[in-house]
Amino acid sequence: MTGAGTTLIRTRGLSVGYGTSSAAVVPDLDLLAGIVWHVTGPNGSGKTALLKTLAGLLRPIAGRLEHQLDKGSGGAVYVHPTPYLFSGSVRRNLWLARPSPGRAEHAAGSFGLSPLLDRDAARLSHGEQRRVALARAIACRPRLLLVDEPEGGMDEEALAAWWTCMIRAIEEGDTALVVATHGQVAFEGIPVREIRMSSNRDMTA
Amino acid sequence: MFTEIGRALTLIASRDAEVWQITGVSIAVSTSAVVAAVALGLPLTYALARSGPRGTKIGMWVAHSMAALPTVVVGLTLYVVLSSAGPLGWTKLLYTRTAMTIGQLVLALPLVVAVVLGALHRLPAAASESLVTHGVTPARRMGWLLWEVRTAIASGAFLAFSRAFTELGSALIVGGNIRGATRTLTTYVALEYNRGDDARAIALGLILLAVALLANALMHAFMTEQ
Repeated sequence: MTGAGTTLIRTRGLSVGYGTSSAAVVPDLDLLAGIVWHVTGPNGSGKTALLKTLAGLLRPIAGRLEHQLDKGSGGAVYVHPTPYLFSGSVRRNLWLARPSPGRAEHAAGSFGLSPLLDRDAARLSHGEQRRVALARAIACRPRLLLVDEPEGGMDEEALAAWWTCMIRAIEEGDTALVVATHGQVAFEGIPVREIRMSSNRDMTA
Repeated sequence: MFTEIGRALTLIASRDAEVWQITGVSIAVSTSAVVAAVALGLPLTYALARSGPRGTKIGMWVAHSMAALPTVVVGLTLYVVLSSAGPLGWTKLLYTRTAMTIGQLVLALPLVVAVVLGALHRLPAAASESLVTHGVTPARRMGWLLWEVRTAIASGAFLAFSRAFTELGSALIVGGNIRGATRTLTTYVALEYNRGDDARAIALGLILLAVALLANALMHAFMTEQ
C-alpha cells in the first residue's frame, strides 16, 4: 500500500457541471493522500459538481482528470448532503459494498451505531441517517472520501466522532478527505488545503 | 332472475366440475401471463430507467399507449399472426391456452412497465449514485433498486392480473372458447349466457367478480403491509 503523499487524482483545466448547463472552472489540483481538502465557495459555485466529478459520478465538461481510483472499496466514495438509505436495517445499509463484517462493525461502532444495527433505517432521525451514510462509506476503506456538507443534521458529538474517524484514516497515510462545507476545518497535525470555487462561471454550450 | 341466482349459488356450492375447470383455466392463463410480464418487464423497465430522462419519457409514452390497447385489437392482431396463413402459423398455437397467455401478456406488460418505470423515476438520484459510488456491480445495482420499488412491482402485477383476468376480446379470438380446453370465465359468460344455461353463466360471473375482488384485496393488504 502506498503512503502519504501519493497523488490520487490530478486535474488540469477541469470544468465541472451537469450536462450542458453552465460549468464551473476548477483550479488545477494534485490531490495528495494524507490531507484534508476543504472545498469552499458560495452556493452554486460547483462544489457538489466537483465532488461528484472527482468521485467519477459526473463526466468532466472540459479538461483532464487523471484518476487512479476505482469506485467503492479502496477507491473513491462520495457521501451526499442528503444521503439515501436503502429500505431495511442499518446493517443492510452498512453491508452495501460487502465489506468484511469486522470492518462494517468497526465503522458502526465509531459512529455509535452498534445498538442501532437492526433498526429500520427509514425510522432513524436525520442525524442518525447521516451517521449511517458516513459509516457505510468508511466501511469501504476509501482512499478518497468525498463528503458533501457533513454537518447537516449531525450533533457536535457525532461530528466530532466523524472527524476522529477521518483523522485516524488520514494519519494511517493512505486516505485523502475532500470535504465541502461552510463550516470550519482546522486540526492539529493534519494539513488542510483549501480548494476555492469561484462564483464566476463559464457558459458552455 | 332470483331463481337463476339461487341456482348459480347452488352450482358453486355443489362444486360443479365444469365451473371449477373453467375457473382453473382462467386463473392459470392469467397468472402465467402476469408472471411472464413481470419477468420480462423488470429488466426492460430497468433498462429504460437507466437510459436517462429521454428513455424514461419514451418508455412511459409507449407503455401508456399500449395500456389503452383494446383487447379485441390485440386478439385480432395475434389471430392474424398465428392463423395458418400467418407468419407464426407453423407453431399451431392458435386456439390454445398458450395463445391466450401471449395475448394477455401483451395486455399485462405495459401496466407492469408503466407502474414500475414511474416508481424508478421517482427514486432520488442519490439512490442510484450511492450504489455506483460504493462500487456495487451493475447486476447487484438492479437488484437493490428494484427492491426499493417492490411495492410498485406488486401494484403493477396486481393491476396486470386484473386486466388479464377480466379481458374477453383476446381470449375469445385466439382461444376460441373450446369447451374443456380454452373456455374461460369471460368467454363462457359472453357466449353461453343467451344459449341456455343462464345459471351457470351467472355462477361464473360471480366467481369472476370474486377472484377480481380478492386480487384487489390482496394488493391492498400488501400495500398496507409495506
